[in-house]
Amino acid sequence: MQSSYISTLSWTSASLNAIPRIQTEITKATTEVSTGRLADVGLTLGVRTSHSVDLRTEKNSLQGLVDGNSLIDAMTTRTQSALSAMTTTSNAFLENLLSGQATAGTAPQLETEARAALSSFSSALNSTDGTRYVFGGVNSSVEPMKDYETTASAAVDAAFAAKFGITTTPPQSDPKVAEITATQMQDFLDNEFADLFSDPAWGTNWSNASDEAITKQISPTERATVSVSANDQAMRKLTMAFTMVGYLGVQNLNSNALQAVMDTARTAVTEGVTGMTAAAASIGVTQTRVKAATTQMQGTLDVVNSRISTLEGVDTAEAKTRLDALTNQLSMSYSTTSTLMSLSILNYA
Amino acid sequence: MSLTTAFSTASSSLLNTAAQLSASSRNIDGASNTSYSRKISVTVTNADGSTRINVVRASDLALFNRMKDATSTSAKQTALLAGLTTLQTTVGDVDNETSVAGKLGAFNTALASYTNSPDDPILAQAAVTAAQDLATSLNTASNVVQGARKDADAAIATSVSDVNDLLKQFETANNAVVSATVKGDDLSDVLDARDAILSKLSEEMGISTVTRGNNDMVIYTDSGVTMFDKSPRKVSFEASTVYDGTVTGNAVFVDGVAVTGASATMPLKSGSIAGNAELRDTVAVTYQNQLDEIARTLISDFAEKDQVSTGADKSGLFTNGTDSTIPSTLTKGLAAQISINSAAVVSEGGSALTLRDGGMNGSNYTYNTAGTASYTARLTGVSSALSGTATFDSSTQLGTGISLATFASGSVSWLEGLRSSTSTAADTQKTFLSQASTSLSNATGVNTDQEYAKQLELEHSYQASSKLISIIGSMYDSLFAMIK
Repeated sequence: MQSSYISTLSWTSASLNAIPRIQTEITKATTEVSTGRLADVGLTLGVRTSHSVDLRTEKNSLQGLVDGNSLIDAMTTRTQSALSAMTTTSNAFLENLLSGQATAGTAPQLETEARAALSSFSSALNSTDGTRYVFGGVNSSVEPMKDYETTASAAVDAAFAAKFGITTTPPQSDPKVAEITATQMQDFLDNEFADLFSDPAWGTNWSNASDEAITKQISPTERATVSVSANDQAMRKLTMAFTMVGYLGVQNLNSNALQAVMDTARTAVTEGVTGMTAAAASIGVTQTRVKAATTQMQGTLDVVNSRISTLEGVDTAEAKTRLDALTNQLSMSYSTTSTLMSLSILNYA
Repeated sequence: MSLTTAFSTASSSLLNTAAQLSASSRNIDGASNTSYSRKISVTVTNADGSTRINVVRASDLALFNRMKDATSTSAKQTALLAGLTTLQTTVGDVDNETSVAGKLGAFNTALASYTNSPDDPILAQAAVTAAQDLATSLNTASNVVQGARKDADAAIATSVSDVNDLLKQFETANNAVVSATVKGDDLSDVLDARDAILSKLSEEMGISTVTRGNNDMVIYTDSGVTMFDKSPRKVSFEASTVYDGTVTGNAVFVDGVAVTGASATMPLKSGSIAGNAELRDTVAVTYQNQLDEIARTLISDFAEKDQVSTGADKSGLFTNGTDSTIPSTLTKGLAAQISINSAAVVSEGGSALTLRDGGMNGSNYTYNTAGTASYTARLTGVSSALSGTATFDSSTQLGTGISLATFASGSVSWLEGLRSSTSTAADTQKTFLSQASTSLSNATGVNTDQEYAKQLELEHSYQASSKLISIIGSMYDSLFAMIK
């Protein structure tokens, strides 16, 4: 009789059943329009969600390195300024050594200048970047340079006294000092005195620093040495030069012995300044590498961010269009439902 | 044809019309009941040539079975999806990095920053805090997983008690059908009642049915275990109230045969019991194993070695929460227990610097014996252990010989992939179910408009018959008047 049969239940519920589904879609589309991201990232990406997690991990680790590099930058900048202060001190001292004719008259003044230079040199070596002593090597929590008066002076005095057979204290003011010949003095400076600045005496008398320099990761693949140790040969030479002029009683030496001290000090300062320049250059290289690594990582971060948004992002224009279409569909559904509900044979009977 | 015959035909027509009207009004009454099937009035001619009305119901066994199967499959996917959605809270939105993988990434970054500046106590504290976050996220995830298992267990218990109730109701309904068949009564309503019970039953577990003589029905589970044959079989299940990684849930037994769990010989294929059992016994267990392996790898990567003599390795930053042993194989429930060594926690009298120096297990385990502030050997050691490859148990389904970070993000992928495919399957099954029920409704449901039209038709037929009777009456009257 009838070609097709439709029950009233499915007649009225067809459009009604569509409504909850459309409403769910609308919530999703609304979220996507407002955030620009997938409403449920995990559900949409499925097994590819790990890409999203991995990219975020990579992003965080790169951001960590970029942040770390700014700390490295602070540390290297502090090292450079300390090195440059020390170079200035050394150069000024060298100028005095070169210009002034070493006589008994100028000796006291040189002695004072050398002591001042040693003190400012030590304090520059004890520079910190707020957290660590930059010249300490890996032993960065301890002041690298010990105070001369409290530690090294005793060793210097003892070596001096032993070499020249002096028993009075301080040995530098003993009358015998004036009798030291240039050869004797040169011998002392080259051996016993120089030993005070070699290991192990250096570590005992002068420095708490570690020879092991601090190296840091500056990018996922690169490590760089970011510190200069106070145990560097340049530092030792300069300390030696300042000490020999400042604490060997130069004003009491005869002019030949004084000349020997001055000559040795000049050589040591020159060598020290050269070494210091080399150290500054190596830190400079690190600074350039850090800068390059940071720029490169920021580039990578941009790429990672764009990959994240490619993976999780939605085209908001598309989402908005979809939202509009869904809204239309929903109102059509409402209107269809109400039309269907009002359609009854009873209205025509 | 005599007047008497015309009279009896008209009055029989009145009766038939009344019977058809009654069937039609029953149809109107059941129009919005999904388990109601349309009553069809069939006019049967008796041997003496008179007619009567037989009421049969519109039915389509194939469509009904299709809907029953779709209901079971859909119920299973829905139950599984609900559980997976609960498990997914351990991942959250990847953007918030609430997942274990996200916390692991954050910890790796904090550890790398500290490795770069080991003399910075703030970074040490940051690394320990990130480690605490990671341990907490493992604990939380483990709790969520076990909570989901417990919920699934409770849902199974509810389903089982529903099934037992329904089977009891089915016994009554089936007896009614059999006795109505034997007596030759109107079967339509009792069959509807029995079918409604079957529909409900199919939500809980997949079933198949066989109809025997006198419309007696036998129910089997979709795996073939008898559930009802003359009398209901016992469906039993003992719920477990406490769940942790080491607990295995009890099986559901039908007629003494296990139908869920690893030892089931005839496992259920569909229905919400099957979905919940799969979640409780397979999915959540695998996910817990993954979390446990992450916890185990963390503990063993941070293990401290005896630096002085040949003492056993002891746990470093991460511990199993009870002692300092290092688990070497999958330890069930470890993720719920993993915690930070109190030797590294300031508020518990420890020091974050032990992360750099070692010595959480006494001076024999101290790496940085000189106490230098920028000592990195221990930190680079643990970092490379963390980033290196590790062996993972095969029950995690994520492969072995990969790094912990890859394993952890693989775990996220595993879960989201499963959720995504289950969600698609659930949507498909819902559509399928909706189509099946629409088809069934169109085959067996009621169209009220048609019923109304039929009622109008019947009304006219009734009027005509009544008119006929009154005409015959008046004919008799005039006949008798002439006789008078």
